[in-house]
Amino acid sequence: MPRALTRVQGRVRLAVYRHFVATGAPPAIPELAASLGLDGPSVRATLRELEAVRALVLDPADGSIAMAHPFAGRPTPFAVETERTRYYANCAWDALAMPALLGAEARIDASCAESAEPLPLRIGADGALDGPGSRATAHIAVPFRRFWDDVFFT
Amino acid sequence: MAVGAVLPAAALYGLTRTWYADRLDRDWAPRSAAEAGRRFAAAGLEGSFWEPA
Repeated sequence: MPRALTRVQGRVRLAVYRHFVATGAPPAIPELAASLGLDGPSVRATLRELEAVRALVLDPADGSIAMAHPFAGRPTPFAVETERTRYYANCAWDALAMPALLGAEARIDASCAESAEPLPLRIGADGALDGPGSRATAHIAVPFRRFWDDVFFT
Repeated sequence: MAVGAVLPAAALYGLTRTWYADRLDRDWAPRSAAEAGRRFAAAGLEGSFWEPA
């Protein structure tokens, strides 16, 4: 059974998410450490702990924050435009999650994975879906029990 | 050949609202597989594809 996060893990996780919400991008590690009054090595260690409990995903190449679901740390084909800024989602599932999470109307600029046909979708403040994407279907290729086998593919 | 699950956008949207509802909460905690399974079931998603193990 998963355990609750420690106080430091919770602070770091929340700071990562607040940065994503405010800017659409992940914080750099030094910036994150400074904002929390912690040192870089401690923050890096805490981020690894958070990754171990699937609270976020680090880039295996450089240890930067690659994902804090539903937010993607790099541009993806799933851009979510709000009045505040542009966000990137990891997949269609995550893109659809953002308006409610952010409490904002949003336009999702996605496209068909097979035909590349644009499938824009608008989600209103009332949760109503509109646009060609609202009539689309999403294909989830990986069964739930294997979501984390290769989270970059999932 | 099994190709996974196909969901209408509206159904997936409904799932996302419950899946991520607590993600910005200060006291968010990792979710157990059983809890994840309950959320899928609440969204009407059942069967081996959605089972935690």
